[in-house]
Amino acid sequence: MIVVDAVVKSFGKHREIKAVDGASFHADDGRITGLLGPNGAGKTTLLRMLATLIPPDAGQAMVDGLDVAADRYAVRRQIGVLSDARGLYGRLTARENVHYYGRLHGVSGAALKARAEGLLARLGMAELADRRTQGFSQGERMKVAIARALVHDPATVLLDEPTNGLDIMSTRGLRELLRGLRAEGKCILVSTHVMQEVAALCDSIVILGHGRVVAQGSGRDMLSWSGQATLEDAFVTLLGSGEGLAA
Amino acid sequence: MSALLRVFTVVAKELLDTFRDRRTMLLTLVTAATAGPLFLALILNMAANQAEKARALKLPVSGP
Repeated sequence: MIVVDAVVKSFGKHREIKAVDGASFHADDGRITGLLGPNGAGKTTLLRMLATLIPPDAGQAMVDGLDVAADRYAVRRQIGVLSDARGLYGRLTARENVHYYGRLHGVSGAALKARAEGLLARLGMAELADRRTQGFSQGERMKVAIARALVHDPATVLLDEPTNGLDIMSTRGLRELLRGLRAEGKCILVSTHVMQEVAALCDSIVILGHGRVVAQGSGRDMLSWSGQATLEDAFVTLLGSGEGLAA
Repeated sequence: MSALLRVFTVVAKELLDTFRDRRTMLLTLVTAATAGPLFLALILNMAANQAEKARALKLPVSGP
C-alpha cells in the first residue's frame, strides 16, 4: 500500500522548478495503479521519491506504513524498482545480473535460482539468459531490468515506463506477469504515457499534470468525469487544453 | 544478510566483471609487469651516466 500525501519536490538553485507540487494519491495492495501524465508532469520524480532515492521537500509518502524519508532502508527492502534499463553490468550475463541483485537482497541458493529462472522464463528470456548484456537491444535490456527488480519478490513494485522498447510479445508477457503479481496481492504502481497500457492493465489511474494530481479513479470514472468516449480524450480533457507540445 | 556477505557479493561481481574484460585485464597485467623493469633500467642507466661523467672529470686549465 502506497500513500502519498501533499508531497512537494522542487529542483534548481532557488527551488524554482516544482517537479511535484502537492501531489496526493494512494495505491492499494492487489491492484495495478497507473501513474499517467505528459512529459515533465513529475511521474519519475514521484517514483524516485517512493524508491527513497530523493527525499520529498514537504509532505509525506508511505510504503506499507513506512515513511520513505525516515525509514529509507526498511522501505528499500519492501520494494522492487524499475527506473530504467540502465545500470546492468554489460560483461555479466543476463542471469548473472539477476542473481547479483537477488544476492544483494539476501536471496540465495535454490530459492534464488528458482526465482530467477521463473522470471527469465516468464519474460521470454530463457535463450538469452547466458549471453552478456552488453550486446542486448533496448527491449532485452528492459526485460533483464524487470527481472532484476522483481527477483526478491517485493511486496510493492514500482515500474517507471516498463514497456519502453518492448515488442508486442514482450509487452503482453509483462502484462501477464503484472497480473500475476496483482493476483498475489502485491501493490503495483506503473508510470506510463502509453494509453493502451493503462486501458489494458490498470485498475486505478492517477492523472498527473504539472506536479499535481488532476484525477484518481478507474478508467470508467475518468470517462464519466470527463464526458468523453475514450481514455485518450478523457486524459486530454482532464488535463485541460494547455497541455500537449506547448506544455 | 551480514555486511561481510554483502561485501563479498560485490567483490565477487567486480572480479567477474573485470576478468571478463580480456583487453583491460591484459593491458593492466602487461603494464604492471613491464613498468617495474623499465623504470629500473632507466634509473640504472642514469646512474651509470652520472658515474661515467664523474670519472672522466675534465677541468679547464688556464695559461699556455
